[in-house]
Amino acid sequence: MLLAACASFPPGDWGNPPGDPFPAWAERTDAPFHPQEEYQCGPAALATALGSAGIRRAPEDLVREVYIPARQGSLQPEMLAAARRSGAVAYPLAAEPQALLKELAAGHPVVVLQNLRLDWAPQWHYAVVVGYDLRSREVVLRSGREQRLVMEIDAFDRTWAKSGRWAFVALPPDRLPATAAEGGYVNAAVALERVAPAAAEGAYRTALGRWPHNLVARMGLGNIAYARGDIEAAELAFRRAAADHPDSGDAWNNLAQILHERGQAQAARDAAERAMAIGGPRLPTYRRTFESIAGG
Amino acid sequence: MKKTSARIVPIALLALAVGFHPPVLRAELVSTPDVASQASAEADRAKVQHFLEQATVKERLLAMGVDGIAAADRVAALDQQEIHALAQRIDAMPAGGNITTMEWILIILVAILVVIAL
Repeated sequence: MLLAACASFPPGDWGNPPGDPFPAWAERTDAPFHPQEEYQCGPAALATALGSAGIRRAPEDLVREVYIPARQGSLQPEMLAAARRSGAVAYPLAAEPQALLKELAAGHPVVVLQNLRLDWAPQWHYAVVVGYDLRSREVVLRSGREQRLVMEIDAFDRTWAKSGRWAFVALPPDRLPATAAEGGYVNAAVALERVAPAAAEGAYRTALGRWPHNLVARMGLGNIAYARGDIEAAELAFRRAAADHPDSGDAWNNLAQILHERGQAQAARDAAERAMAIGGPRLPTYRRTFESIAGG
Repeated sequence: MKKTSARIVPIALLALAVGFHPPVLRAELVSTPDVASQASAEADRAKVQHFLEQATVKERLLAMGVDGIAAADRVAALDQQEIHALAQRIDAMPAGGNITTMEWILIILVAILVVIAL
């Protein structure tokens, strides 16, 4: 994920894929610009990405969430975490130029980590790529104090490759990244559940819109509904999870608990027994559910 | 008198019922991260490790000048993998920001050494 990839990355493929070509150019001209204060490109880049997603956050407020005084900078995991705290889905991109171009073509600005200097004396820097032009081989960035920094693609790629081409998009929960893969997107939604459950609920729905049989997203919907006290919605989600995935002990376990709370004793017992029969690493949990149902 | 006892009896019965069959206070639903991870055969050990790593990361943030409440909030916003990555190598991770004073000093030292060597 991180520094190990720095040593030497071969030049990236910036060509337009023949089967599914991007437009020759794209730019989010409306992406907000926050000229960075000293050392604070992390908060500034975040504010630009979040603002483009319709989430207004001031860089000064984000400093508290990502800036590390002794390092005079911000770390990658905290950049993702702060995007989530703001209610956005933080989706890390595949480390390749094609992924970056595809997101930009969809109108999604991309936060990138660059090394502006040498491998042995790095100057790490966050910027937001807001556009590209394949005709002139340029990318457009909001970077530092530059509102519209135009960089030649090869020069940009050299600085970006030194971070292992680290990049992410921060999107509102109802918007799927253009390069979204099922597992990666659902993981991003799961990471959101604890800090911003309402946003996570939206992200799970977005995931299910594309991958209707995803077990984790369906279970997530049930768990969030339950935490909110909406037991009917929780039952609906767990029933669907168990119907789509009859071999998931987790689905039967959670359904059993809900049925129990709704006073459907026999159905609850049946579901708990199914979970136990399936077994697996969480069998002790299933047993406890069964015992609490049988005892209550 | 009769009225009072008529009221007390059902309440007492209810209390008895509750006493003999304690209601489940909190359901044990399988959490979404657990559903996603699948690998929790050693769940307890993993939880202990996660807890320790959280403490490590918070301590490092404090040591690097992040104030107490903010550090706690920031650790709470990280997911398990991120905590693990930070606990392992927070000092080696690139901090996107700008060149640090320490790095300037190193660069100047190297430059001086090169000049002396020549």
